[in-house]
Order: sequence, then C-alpha cells, then structure tokens
Amino acid sequence: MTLREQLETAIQENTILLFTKGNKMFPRCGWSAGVIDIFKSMDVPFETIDILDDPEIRPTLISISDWPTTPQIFVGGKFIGGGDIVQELHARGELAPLVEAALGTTEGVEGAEGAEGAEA
Amino acid sequence: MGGLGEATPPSFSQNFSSMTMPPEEIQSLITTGLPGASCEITDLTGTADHWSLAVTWEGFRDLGLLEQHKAVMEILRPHMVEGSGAIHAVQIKPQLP
Repeated sequence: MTLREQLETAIQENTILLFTKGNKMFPRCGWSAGVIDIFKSMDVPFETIDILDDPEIRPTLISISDWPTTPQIFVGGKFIGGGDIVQELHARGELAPLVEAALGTTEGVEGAEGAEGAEA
Repeated sequence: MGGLGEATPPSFSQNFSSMTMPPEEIQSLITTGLPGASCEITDLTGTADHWSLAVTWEGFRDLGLLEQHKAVMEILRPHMVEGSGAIHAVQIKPQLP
C-alpha cells in the first residue's frame, strides 16, 4: 500500500482524524495543540497522525486535502479545515453537530455551546 | 537550530528579507487577488512569518467557511511551504463588509 493509500485509509477508518505536528500527548505546535484541546474537551474519540513522523506525509497529505498547512482536520472522511476553521466552527457551535452526525450519535457532545475564545 | 556551521549566506540581511515577506506585500497580494477586499495584517510572533489576516470582502458572502479560507489560502500558497516558504503560517479571519 502506498503512503497515499495508507493515509486515505486512515481518513476513512477514523471518524475524527487530525494531522498534527506532534501527537495527542505531546503536540509540537501551538495550533496543533489548540485543535487537540478542542476535541479532548468534546470528549469524543479521535486519532492523530504526526506529520513529523515521516517527511513524505506532509506533501502527500497536501495532495489529498489540497490544503497547505498543518493542522488538518478530517471528520467523517471529509476534510473540514485547518486550525482556525475548526476554532471558528467550535466558537459558532457548529463543530459539535458535525461531529455528532459523523459519529452517528444523538447524544449531546460536550462543548456544543461553543468555545470560550480562541486562546489556542 | 542548524548552528553556525551551516552555509551562512554572504549577505545575511539581503537573504533574510527574501525569506520573509513584508506585510504590505502580503496585503497587496490579497487585495489584488480579491478585488475590492481590504486586509488587516498582524504579526503574531514578531518574526514576520506567522501572520493573522483579517480579510473583509463582499465575495465571501456566498461561500462556506472552508471556501472563504480557501479563497485567501490559494493566493498565499505559492509563498508557503510548497513554494518559496516566505510565509510559514497564517491565521485567516474572513469577514463580510
């Protein structure tokens, strides 16, 4: 399986997947840490792929998402945006419904009322 | 942190200015690319490579959030990681007039 296929498979298999610098435990970029915090605060299952693990990940990811920067967030197999888009969706209260729909849950997700600001 | 051993350019200041991009130039890229737009720019880190761009443009009206960001990002891409690398990171704030 090529790297592109591996990444595409990961995107399809993980309902919420974040491409970040560093990982959940040790984010290595403030903007990656910001989106990781949002999904942690929502208490939903999500995975991260560290683009620093392999220098080929970044260019391959860019060719998949057509988006040049990191972090990149995929929900339900679909690219929804970078860090500031996710912060904005969260602040508007639009992220939780999107995540709930993708997870197929009808239970409320924490954080649905929106973020407290953009202090990432 | 390459250390001093790495090829130090002959003219550091000249080289430095070509590695980053003056804020006025970024603003002008945006206002040229999005006719009628205005762009407020903030240096987030004081290092001239992490920018916040508050872009006000009528054309955002019919676009979703991702498309609004894309409209700005596409203009900057040649200067980002895949291109010259003069712009390392941007935060985009699309706004309607």
